Amino acid sequence: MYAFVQSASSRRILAVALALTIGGVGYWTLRSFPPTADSWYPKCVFYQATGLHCPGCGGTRALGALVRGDLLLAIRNNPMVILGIPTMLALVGLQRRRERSGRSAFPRLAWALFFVLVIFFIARNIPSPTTSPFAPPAPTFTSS
Amino acid sequence: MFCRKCGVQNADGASNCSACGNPLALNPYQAQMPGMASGEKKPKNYLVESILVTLCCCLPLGIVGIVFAAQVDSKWNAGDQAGALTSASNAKKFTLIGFGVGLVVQAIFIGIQVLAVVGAAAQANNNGGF
Repeated sequence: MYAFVQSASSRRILAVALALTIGGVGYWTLRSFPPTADSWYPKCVFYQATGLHCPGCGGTRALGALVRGDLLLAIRNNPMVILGIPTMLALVGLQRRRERSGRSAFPRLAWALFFVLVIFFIARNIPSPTTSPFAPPAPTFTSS
Repeated sequence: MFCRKCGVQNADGASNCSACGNPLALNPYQAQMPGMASGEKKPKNYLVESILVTLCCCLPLGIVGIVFAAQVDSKWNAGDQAGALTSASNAKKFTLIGFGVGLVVQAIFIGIQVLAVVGAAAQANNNGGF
């Protein structure tokens, strides 16, 4: 088993299988049980403790809106999860490919991602966590 | 350095491979790339992992993880291999601790919420609500 996990190609197969499984289970769960105000999905601990929106707040609702086909509501709930994460993964993947081919890495990519996250974090809470245009709106859709 | 085409070892600074003639320095960046001469690979920086930890479970430790992850790249590009290795191990440490702390804190909060729901139901029963 260890030898299997060690080989690069089988690791890739494992990763793809794992991603498909998680994606499938997540899709089914979010479609069957939409995240509402009183749903049992884990709520952001940081938000409950401080009242501030963290960069991931609204992520479950965003994915919930996405699997129902409401892209705008999804972006409204959490642009970082819907737009930012795919962009980041693409950039990091590009970075890896660049390094593997022997060229120098984009030296500031990691710092750029860090500042984007921090600025997004601040922007969601000004002027206040409830009135910021980047804050997730209160959960609207009900279980139907 | 090793020829990237046929793998034969050549003297550092040679312009062409002694075995197959393949040019060894394809572009000026390659010659300057830190770590290339010693054949070391840049350590894994845990950037994606720390960002996911930041978004999913434990904000402060994840942010620290991203800072160390970013340091890995900066230090490596500046030729500071030892520093990059230290930052890489710190990034790993904070990402893993952040993941663990996030899981535990989530579990505690969910436990409290479940208890609250059960408690409210018991209360309603006592008051003859159902």
